[in-house]
Amino acid sequence: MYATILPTDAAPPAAATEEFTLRQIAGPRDVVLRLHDGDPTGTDRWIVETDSPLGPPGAKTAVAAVVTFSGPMPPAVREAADRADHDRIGPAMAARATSTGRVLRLWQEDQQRKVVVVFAVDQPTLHDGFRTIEALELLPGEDPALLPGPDHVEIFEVTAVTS
Amino acid sequence: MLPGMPHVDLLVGRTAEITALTADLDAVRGGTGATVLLAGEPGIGKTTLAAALATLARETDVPVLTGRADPEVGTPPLWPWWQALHGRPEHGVLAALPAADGDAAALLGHRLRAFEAVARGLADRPGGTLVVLEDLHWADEATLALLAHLTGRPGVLAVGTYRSTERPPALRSGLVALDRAGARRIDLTAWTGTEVAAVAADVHPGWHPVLLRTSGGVPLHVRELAATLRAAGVAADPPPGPGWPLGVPASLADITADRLDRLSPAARDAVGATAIAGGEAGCAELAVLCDLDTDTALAALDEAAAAGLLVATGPAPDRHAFPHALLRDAVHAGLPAARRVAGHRAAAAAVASGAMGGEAVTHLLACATDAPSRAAAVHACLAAAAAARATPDRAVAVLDAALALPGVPVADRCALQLAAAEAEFAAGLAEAALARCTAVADLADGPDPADGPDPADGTGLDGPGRADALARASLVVRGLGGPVNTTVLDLARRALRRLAAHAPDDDATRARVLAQHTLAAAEAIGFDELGDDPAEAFRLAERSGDPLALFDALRARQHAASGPDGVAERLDIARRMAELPRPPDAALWGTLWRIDAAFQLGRITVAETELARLAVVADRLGWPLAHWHHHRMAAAIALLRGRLQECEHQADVALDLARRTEDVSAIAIDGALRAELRRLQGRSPEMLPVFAASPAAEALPIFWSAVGVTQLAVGDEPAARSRLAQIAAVLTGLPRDGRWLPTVCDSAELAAGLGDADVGQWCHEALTPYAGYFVAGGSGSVRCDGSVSRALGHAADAAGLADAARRHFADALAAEDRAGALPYRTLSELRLAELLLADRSGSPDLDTAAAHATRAAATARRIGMPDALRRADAALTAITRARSERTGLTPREREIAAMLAEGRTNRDIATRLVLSERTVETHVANVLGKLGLARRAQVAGWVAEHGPLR
Repeated sequence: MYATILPTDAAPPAAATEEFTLRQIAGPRDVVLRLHDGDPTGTDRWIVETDSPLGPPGAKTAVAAVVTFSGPMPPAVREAADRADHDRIGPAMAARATSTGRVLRLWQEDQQRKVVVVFAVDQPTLHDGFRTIEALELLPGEDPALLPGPDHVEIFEVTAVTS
Repeated sequence: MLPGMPHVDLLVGRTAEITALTADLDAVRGGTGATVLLAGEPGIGKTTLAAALATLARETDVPVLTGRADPEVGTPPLWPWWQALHGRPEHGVLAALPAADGDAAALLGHRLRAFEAVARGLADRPGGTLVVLEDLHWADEATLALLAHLTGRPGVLAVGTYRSTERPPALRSGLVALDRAGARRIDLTAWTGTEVAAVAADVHPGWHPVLLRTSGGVPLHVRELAATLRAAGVAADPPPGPGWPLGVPASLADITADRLDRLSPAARDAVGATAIAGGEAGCAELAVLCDLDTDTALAALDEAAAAGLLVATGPAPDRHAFPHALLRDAVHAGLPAARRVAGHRAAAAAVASGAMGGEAVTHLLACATDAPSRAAAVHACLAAAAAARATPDRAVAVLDAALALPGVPVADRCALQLAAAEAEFAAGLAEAALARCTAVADLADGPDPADGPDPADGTGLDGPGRADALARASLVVRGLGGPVNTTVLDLARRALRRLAAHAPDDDATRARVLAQHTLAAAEAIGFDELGDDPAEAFRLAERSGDPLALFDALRARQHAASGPDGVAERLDIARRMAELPRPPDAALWGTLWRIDAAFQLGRITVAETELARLAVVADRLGWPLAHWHHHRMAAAIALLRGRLQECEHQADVALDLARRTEDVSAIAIDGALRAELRRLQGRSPEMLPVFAASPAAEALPIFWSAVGVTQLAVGDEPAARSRLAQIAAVLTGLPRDGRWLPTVCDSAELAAGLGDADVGQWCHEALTPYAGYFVAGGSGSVRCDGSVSRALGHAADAAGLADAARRHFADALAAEDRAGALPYRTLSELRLAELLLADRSGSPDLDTAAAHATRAAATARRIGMPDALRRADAALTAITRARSERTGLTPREREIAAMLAEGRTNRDIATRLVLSERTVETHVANVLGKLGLARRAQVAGWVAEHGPLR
């Protein structure tokens, strides 16, 4: 699966299976996150590495956090981040499944950058989730030198969902 | 040499005294009289001073009469005067004195008249007379009485010398009379370090404190010792240790023996016992060594002190010591051998039982005359050296003393040599340590005995003993780069052979030696030759569970993972290393490796945290090597942060420490750091002589690329091109070790500077997987040169990939901004501005270019990067020009627009440009039209937004 994140006024690059219209809460960005079965090509195309629906089916998610690791992300850092997602952060998010709706992990090969999109029921829930993640103890073998954290986090209101 | 006194150049440190005596001589020529007594211990320079005065007197036509007292019993009364007055009429007056067997009162009357006749005869000569009487401590009462009688007579300067360490009755009463008559006394004091340095200027300065300490500053002894050094051919070399190594000069031995002969037997014993005790003693030592009761001991010590052989040291009243070490050595050397050995044996036992203070080891060494006593001395020395680990030079001295004993068995010799080698390595003396290790290996690696221990083969070592000695010898010198590794590799090979034969189940030792073999081979032969040795060493170490084995195996594994792909593994290895309970430097290496990895990851804050930890570790270890690592890493981080002055200071401290470690690679590492510092500072020309003087580094491709970059910086394009050709020939085959990333990144920059598309293309492909890393070595990194993306930008630039180049520089800028690597952010930002400006796509993004160039200029100015600042200013000028050209304004219109921006009226502009107002109105209308503005007042705002027009 692929994804694109483009301004709302940009033409869709390919047919989308799902479409999320997002309005930045503390900024001017309005974007559309689309999920595609076919490769949309182009420089703004992302590979969906994981798509984890966490909440109950059909639950309404009103906000989304777009967590960006600008890149180029070194291989060792990416590996450490993937492990953290899979073994530490993922299980913690699953434990909060009633309030966190869905997590998409996107990767852009040529830029070596990563985006994690987290859908949640509301902003307090989202912030609670971040605080929980920050408080998690590192697992044995994890090294803080390999976990620099994201370059920025943007919070959006989910204004429309099409599937 | 004293000013105006050309013949008194021997009078070092006696300026005040000769000046006073010269003044006395001048006064005597003017008709007054004086007597001056020169006092001091033997060798202090009394005769030299008196002789210098006599020389000055003769040069000014003052007659000089000289005499000398003689210690012989048969010497006639007034003998010094007989000599002094020889050939003068007063001599006859003394000769006419009656013999001493007459009436005492009549005799004194005769003597008084004779003395008066002598005094009158000498006095009142125009121009004055100098009388010099030497060695008055041996003079008879009459000689001193005549001197007192003469004191103050007009025109007579009398100078007498005597030893303050000897006070026979005649001298004591004579001094009272002389004092009463008005004689003045000058006490000559010992030299200080300044005077010693002056007379031994041709001797290595390291000897000066040894000379001062050993001689006590007594000039005669200083000169004798310096002459001994010259005669032994070691004067130009630094001293091997803090003590005097060449025995007691014969002159001092004679003087000392003579002084001892004048003491009572008890005092002589006390002085001898003090020498045996090590130079200081009191009643406790004298009780043990001479069997003296307290009262007798105190009286003996007092007598020795009165003779100047000992001095009270306090605060306890009985504590006495020799005034200087040489005197102690002279007394000790003069003792009969049997007395010395018996004394030291008694002292060793007394120290062991607590009856006497001090160290038993010195006494055990001094009484080691047979096999059991030698074995006791050797074991005491090994224990003392282990206890003196914090002061390695002391440990080495003790061990060398044991090695100097005759007949020490080979097994003991190996143990002593290995302990000394370990102490020397801890003190930073790698070459010396390695020489000892080689000596041990040669002892232990001789022909095999048939089986078991075989004293007949001369080694006294069985097979496992040989293997153990060889293994220890191979493990002493570690963690160094450079040519020492060839020897280490040879030692490790020999040890592995022996271990395989005699200790195949000793996993821990085999792991350690195999790891050492791996590291030395990587340095001496090459990274690609490592094979499975690191993994095998780690397997053996884990099986053994031995921390030392794990330490060495982790070092080997770290080295094997030093390439850019091994960064995560290196972090894990570093963590495991830092957690090891021993050896003491495990934490040092663990911390250093984490800094290496943090550099490559661009995590400067992590590196800074580790640097703080490194400071603590270095303080705890106290080794020069550890402090060197701390300061060189502090310099590297300061460089990366753009604190260039701090970098220089830390590098200076590190270099001082590097010189103490004797590690040639440490000196080369300083050159590598400073090359980058100078490049950022715009002072690259200073590095060319440094590179030219680094022949050992010529074997390393990392050196070629670094030198090429510096040559490019100084504008020597042919030389840089030659270096690029050199590196291009090997680039594709470089091992992916810890040096690969810096070498390829420098090559990319070199290719960009010289327009080599092929090298640029190869570097671009090779570096792309590492775009997210920073440029740093993977094992013993010297510095961190910012983001690999900047090198990728250079590579793409060289390969003609303009879009990719701009993207890489933008990535580098972002990464270096995140990391706070200011110098490199400046370089990336500057190059990005230049590339944006040079964009030939038709519409260069001048605003973005200007923003980057402006910030680059500000940062370069702030942290002191003059070359970058010049480039940024040039870019800004070019941007201004491009903007002006983009407006379509003619040169005249730009000129008028600039004046409009300054708020000038049409009339003012017309006057300044010698135009009509109507013409100016036409130009203003054109300017507003081309800039898309409605009113002239908007021109100032346009300029503020887009930059100046001229």
